[in-house]
Amino acid sequence: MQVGLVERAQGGDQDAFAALATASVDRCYAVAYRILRDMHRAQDATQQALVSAWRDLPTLREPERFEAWLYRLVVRACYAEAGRDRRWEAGVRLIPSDRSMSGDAADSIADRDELERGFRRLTPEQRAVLVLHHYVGYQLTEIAETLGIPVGTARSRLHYATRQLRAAIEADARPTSPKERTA
Amino acid sequence: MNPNPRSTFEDRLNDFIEEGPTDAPPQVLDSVFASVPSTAQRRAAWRMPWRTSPMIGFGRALAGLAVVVAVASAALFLVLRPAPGGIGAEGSPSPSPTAVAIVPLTPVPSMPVLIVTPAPSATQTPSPSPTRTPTPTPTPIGRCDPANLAARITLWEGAAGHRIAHVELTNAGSSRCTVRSMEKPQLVDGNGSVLIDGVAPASSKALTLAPGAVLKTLVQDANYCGPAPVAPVSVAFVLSNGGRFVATPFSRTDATVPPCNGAGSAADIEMQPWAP
Repeated sequence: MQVGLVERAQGGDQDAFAALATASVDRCYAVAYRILRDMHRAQDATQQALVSAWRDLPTLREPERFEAWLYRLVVRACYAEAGRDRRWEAGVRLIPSDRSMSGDAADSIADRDELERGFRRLTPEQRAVLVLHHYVGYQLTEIAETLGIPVGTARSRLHYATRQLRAAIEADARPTSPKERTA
Repeated sequence: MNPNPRSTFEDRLNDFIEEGPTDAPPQVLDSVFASVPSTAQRRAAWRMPWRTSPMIGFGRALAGLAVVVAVASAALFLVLRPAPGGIGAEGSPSPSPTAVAIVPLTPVPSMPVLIVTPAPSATQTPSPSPTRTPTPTPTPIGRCDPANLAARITLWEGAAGHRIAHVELTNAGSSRCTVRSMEKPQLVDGNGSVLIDGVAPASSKALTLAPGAVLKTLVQDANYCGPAPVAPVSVAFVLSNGGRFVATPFSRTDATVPPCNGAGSAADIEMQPWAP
């Protein structure tokens, strides 16, 4: 059914495109948010991607691959958003986790903060690979096709992103852990 | 401890990426649908294949080289071939079909990106530029006089302890001038008192503003723990040369400030770079 809608939208049918966009917007936004970690910028990226989709739909050769193609536009829009303003991102301050809190809740918040900090240190390209793999559930070949990169590059980005994230978390945890773990 | 730290890390990572909004706000689709009727679709005379095995940089360079060689060979052939008049001569060379066939092989134009440097103003003479990159005018353009800058807050939003002002800046003067993409922002009240003082940006680039051109930014402030302000609350921008301009407040009666998140913590105000 979606292929039919894509083909109609390719022919300029705005109603068909509206149906496609309505069915896709939540997924696009969810992916954009997870890459950019900012709701407003995710909205902008999603909007940009969908408008680009309408404009470029006639150039899509394989309508059955609309979804992956759309993710590609979303990721590109996220790259543009991320590159547009680095200072805003740098200005984001994370509230330190309340270390006086005890038990699982404190650990969970600390974990999340560490992951958030580590994730923000990744490049948009690395974030995109992580999100497509862990959130969308794509395998490396699908990631490579979606992003238009060789499989080896996708593998390497995923590997280094994961490694960097793990290292960042360990580095964040290291200075405070000896005293706090024994407290 | 943990017998399998890797899986724990993967689980944590999965949970972290999984969390977050999954539904787009309705205004996203509204904006898209508003844009579609005025957005022309790209022609599909030659549908560009969505490559599954992308060309790497070297491949692209090689393809470009091949095109150049093909064109040069065709030109050389036309120049060096025997003079017309022999058997089977066809007279003057007609447009080469190979040249036509080469055209679609040029790289697909990349996705448009938002350009921070301002585009040429619509008020300029519409002389088509032969190049695609915006060319800055060679004549030096002075800094905008704050008196010629009209700023106004078009919207206030609240989010998680923050307030975000949507600000528009218009060059109300009659000549082109430049502003810096980032300035020191301030939250000010109706008496002109500075409620929250921002930090001068470490670096900033110049943006050229044609008469009537508009730039936009978002100013985010947080943690105001001072006395109740006098309405209306607005946002000011302190220029590096000491000038300052204050945005027209969103409402004359607006005295809303960001909530106090803790008197022990500093108040905060930051701006995004001005952009078209």
